[in-house]
Amino acid sequence: MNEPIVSWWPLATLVLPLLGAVACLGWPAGAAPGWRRPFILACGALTALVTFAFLPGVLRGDTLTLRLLQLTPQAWIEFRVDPAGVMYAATAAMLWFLALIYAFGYLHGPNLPRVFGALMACLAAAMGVAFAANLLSFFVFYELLSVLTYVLVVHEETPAALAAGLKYLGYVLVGGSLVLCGVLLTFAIGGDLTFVAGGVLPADAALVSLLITFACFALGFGVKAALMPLHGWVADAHPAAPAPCSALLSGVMVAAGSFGLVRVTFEVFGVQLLRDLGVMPWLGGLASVTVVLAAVLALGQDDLKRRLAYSTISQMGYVTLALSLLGPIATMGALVHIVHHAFMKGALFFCAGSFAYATGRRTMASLVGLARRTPVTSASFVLVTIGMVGIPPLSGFVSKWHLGLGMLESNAPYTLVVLLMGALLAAGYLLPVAIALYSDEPEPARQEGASEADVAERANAVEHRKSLFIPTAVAASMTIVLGLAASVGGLPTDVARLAAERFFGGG
Amino acid sequence: MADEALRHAGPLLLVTLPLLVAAALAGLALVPRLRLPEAVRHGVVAATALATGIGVLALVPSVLASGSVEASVPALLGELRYRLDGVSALLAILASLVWCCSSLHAAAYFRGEPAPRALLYHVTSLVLFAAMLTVLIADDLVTLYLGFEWLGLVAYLFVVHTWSPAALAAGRKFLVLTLLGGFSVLAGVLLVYAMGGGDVAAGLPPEADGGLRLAAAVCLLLGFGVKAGALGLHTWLPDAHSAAPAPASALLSGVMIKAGAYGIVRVLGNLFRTDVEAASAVLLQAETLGLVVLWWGIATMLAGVVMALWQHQAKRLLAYSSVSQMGFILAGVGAAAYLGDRGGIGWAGSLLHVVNHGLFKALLFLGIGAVIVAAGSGDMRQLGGLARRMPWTFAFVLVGVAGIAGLPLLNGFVSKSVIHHALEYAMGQAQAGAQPHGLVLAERLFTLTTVGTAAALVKLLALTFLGSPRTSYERTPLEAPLAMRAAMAVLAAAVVLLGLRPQVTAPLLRTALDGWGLPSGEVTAWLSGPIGHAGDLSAALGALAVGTVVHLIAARTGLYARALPAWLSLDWLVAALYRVSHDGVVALRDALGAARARRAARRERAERARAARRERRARRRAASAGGAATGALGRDAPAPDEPAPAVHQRILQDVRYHLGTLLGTPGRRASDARPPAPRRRPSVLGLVAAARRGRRRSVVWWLRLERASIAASRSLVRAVQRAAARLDASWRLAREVGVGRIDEDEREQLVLETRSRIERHNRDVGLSMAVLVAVWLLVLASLSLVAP
Repeated sequence: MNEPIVSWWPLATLVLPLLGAVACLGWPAGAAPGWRRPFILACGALTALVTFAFLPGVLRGDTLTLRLLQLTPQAWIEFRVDPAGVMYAATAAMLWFLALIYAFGYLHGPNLPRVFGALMACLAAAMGVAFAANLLSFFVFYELLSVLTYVLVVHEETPAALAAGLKYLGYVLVGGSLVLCGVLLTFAIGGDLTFVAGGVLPADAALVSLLITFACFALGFGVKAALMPLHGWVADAHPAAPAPCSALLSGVMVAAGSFGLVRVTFEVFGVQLLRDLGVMPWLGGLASVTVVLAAVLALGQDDLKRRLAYSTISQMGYVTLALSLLGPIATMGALVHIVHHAFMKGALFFCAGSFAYATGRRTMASLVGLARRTPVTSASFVLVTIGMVGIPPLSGFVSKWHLGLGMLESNAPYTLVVLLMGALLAAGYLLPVAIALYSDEPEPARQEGASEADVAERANAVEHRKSLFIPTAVAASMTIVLGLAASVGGLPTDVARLAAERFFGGG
Repeated sequence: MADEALRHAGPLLLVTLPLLVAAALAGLALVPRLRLPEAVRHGVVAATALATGIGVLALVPSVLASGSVEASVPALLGELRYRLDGVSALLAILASLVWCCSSLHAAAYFRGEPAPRALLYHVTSLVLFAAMLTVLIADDLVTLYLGFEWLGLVAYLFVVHTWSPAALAAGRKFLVLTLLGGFSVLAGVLLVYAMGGGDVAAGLPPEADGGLRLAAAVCLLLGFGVKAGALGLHTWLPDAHSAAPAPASALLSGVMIKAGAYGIVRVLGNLFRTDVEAASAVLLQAETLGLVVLWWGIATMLAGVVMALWQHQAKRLLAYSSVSQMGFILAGVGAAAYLGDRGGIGWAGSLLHVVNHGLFKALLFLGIGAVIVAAGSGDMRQLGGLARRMPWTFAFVLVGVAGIAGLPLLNGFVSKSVIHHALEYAMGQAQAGAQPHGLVLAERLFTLTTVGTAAALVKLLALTFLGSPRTSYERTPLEAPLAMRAAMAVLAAAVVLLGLRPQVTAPLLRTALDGWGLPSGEVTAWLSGPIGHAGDLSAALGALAVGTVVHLIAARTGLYARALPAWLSLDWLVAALYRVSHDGVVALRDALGAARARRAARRERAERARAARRERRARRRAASAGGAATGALGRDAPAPDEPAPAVHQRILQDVRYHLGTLLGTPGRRASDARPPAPRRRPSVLGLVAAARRGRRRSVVWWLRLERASIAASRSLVRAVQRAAARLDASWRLAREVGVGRIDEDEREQLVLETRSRIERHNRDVGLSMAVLVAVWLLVLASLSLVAP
């Protein structure tokens, strides 16, 4: 690992989206209104480009750092660009860009400035989460992300959305407070908040205090990462939010909780300390239950977006489960899965949004035979479904492969059963949707609400609306790219390997 | 050099050619001007299969010379590696031949099919062909798994081709079992990689952990067993094969289920074959697994043939017969693995039988397909007398039936005899090793199954083609079209050729055995010698004769008309298990419901008793106070027909009451539009009274603390509520009024609605805040622990 380099570039990833947010909220009256959307899109694209530009340096072993301002006497707002962070940031920025394009085609109504402003601000917060160099900075951006997301959830302002928003707020605020408790405890015990591979907490601290700290972090991040008893908000917030926001919610924001767990596991506690504490098996147990139970619950959902939300809970359970094994390959699998899942679930939510746009509803019955009218979207859905099940050579297989190998490497073969059961159940809750799309008979249920001609017209509109189906197709084709080219340097698998090596103290 | 490079690209080309053609077909279909005529498309598919077959043949000299041809492509987890060796080449040639014939047959079968569906069939067929080749020529297990999964998933499109309810049901079953099998294989592959293995053709490292070895063996055998239709995992096979269109059934039954058999061959022949010197006795080895597979095969062949005898649908009969024939293959593989170094004859026999079964089963399915097209039905009870109308088809089916029944001079006889010899060797080895294991019984069952096979296939032939028609056909059955006849002729010729000159396979078999390090002299001698030994000849002819007699007896006595008992079917077992568990769940739910109702009734009784007591007390107190305090007490009495409030509502009411007494404000909230909820004297107040009476300081302090904390959390909740409500209402109003959508009355209504909505959810927030306070207390406590 080379000497850290001080650089202002990490700040650019925050400033660019914030510029976009400002443009969303107030565009100067004299300026050309036609330039507003391109400007916002450019902000998103440039953010993604900057994160990609970090990759070569990170692969060389460089670390960029930046001390921005002193928040408290003890801690600075500080940035650091490391492999795991770049991976998360690049994923988030790219998915954000796709979601922005989709949102321009999908969102309507008087609240557009508000929701786009929140979207861009959330992107900035996500970048902060990715590049935070210490716990306090992490916490600040994490909480910002959590609270700003509320605006995305309640965008439609239906009673259901408001209720879901309130529930969301209750959950994440409690979770955030727990994380703050963890931060304070960490400072009280370790006296330092900087992320250091191997951990900052001393092994000789009082056992009880270490356990309480871990519990605070695990439960706090668990709320966001949709760990099972704390998952209540996910299944309400995802269907309530508009499709592009659900995609981000599922792909990036739930992953922020998992990412927080990664940071805490490897850079606050450290592998050795956690092994000595012996708490990880408990977390693994919870995660195993999450994987299976959420997938079973997903089977019974009639609302496609709700089904996908439960799928997210189940899939993010994999990440927590793999983290709890504390093995290098499992960690790599967890990191890779965060990325692969983000694109796959993003694509699925885009599809769900397009289907809802086409039919006016989200029930299973409304999907029957839709493939004839929305061929590209339906094909994307099928492709991603196969990816989610984990069939090679798609990206789902790559992450599942590393997760599985990691489970065996960590001598936990029982978790392999959980992994495969989750995959089987994923087939169970996604394949019927795919089959319904390609079925012949239109169900009477669809006709009673909207007339067939109406549906046909709207459905054709979906495939003619470039901003809807291009992001869908791009996100879906990422499934192939990330799978077939998994071993190419600079792609998630490679970066995740580097990150895992860093976490485990290897070269 | 170029030659060398081409040779090494060869295996890759084999796999990519069908995929490229499939992509081209699909792409051309998208452009209306370039849409190909139906016949051309069939021709393209058949030609692709033929070209691939020729490609394999072209690579055979290299394979014979150096044992294998390898190639790799950088993709997925590093690289996908391909390797064509003797076993792979043999099966790849079979696959190409059957695919070519089936596509030819399909050209006539799908005449009149809607164009998109026929196109889908072609693309599916080509993708499956590529997947099958990937399985066969994969060098590492990941590549093999890749092919295996796509083979299973895409074959779903074959099964549900007609989208009829029966086909969809069969497809569902197929998909579930295939996915289960696929994940089982994945688990096995992961275990093998975790042990340090990974090559298809290499053994596991001998130092691998015993438990992992066992787990890997179980996972792989179960996974491949699903595909191979081994007993217990075969239930998808009859449904799927009979639901698919006939050319697809020929591919499914003739080639695709062989992927499972191929997998088991690799597991027993390569992965678990360890050096006898290097391995310790405790390690799970191919010998032990071989015995398991051998018995599994015997059970499969027997059960399959019994089920086949009782079928009325020709395609179902053939499908069950496939199960049975896979049993032959498994028994041969098992015997070979059990024999260890002497197992060459077993491997050769089962590989030959894979090829032979592929040929005659495809031939039979194509023949039955021709019958279905001509007569409109595959129900043997309604057929009959077709031999005169469709003489060519009859002749070809006759060849197929004779082949599968093991008639000498045809290919089935050769492979069955070889497998039989392997079984006899195994029997001898078991007796010599003083561990008889009942292999004698296995040999007897093998013979019995041969008889059964003959009977079942004679039944197919006789009921379909011989005698007189049992019903009048809707339209006069015509001889099969030329394309169908050509396809069947090629396959029939192959059946005869491999029966007369089985030694054409000898070079590839020799290479395969060399690859395993086994002597091949015996096998070569056997194949090129005179046709069979006297014993084999008489056994085969005897089996055929007895089988025919069995069929005649069964047909005369009406035995076929009797249905087998339902409980013999595994589906019945699964359904019964489902029923039992479903009933159990329902019973549990009912029981829980009843218990809940009982509890509610009890609570209500208690409530009523309490109310009565309170009433009495109030009356007594009123009497003592001279009736002055009735107004205050009235609030405590519950309204007579108000339903008992839920627990959490009561708690909320309690809290509200506390707050009211504490702050000196009435207990109902300003925003509460409903009439005040009935108040009851909370239990805590009883404590207050007790404390007042006893003047116990601790109780009083505790109560004060409680009140204070409740008040604090309550005011916090209110603040949040108020803020949220204001924010929410203002947003909504600003929006709705701003766009001029509502008038003043509606606005009022909206405000009320918004408020009540928020109140409904304030319980959530309240609870979260309470949790928050508890957590903070916890943290403060732990901080005080930590602080120096």
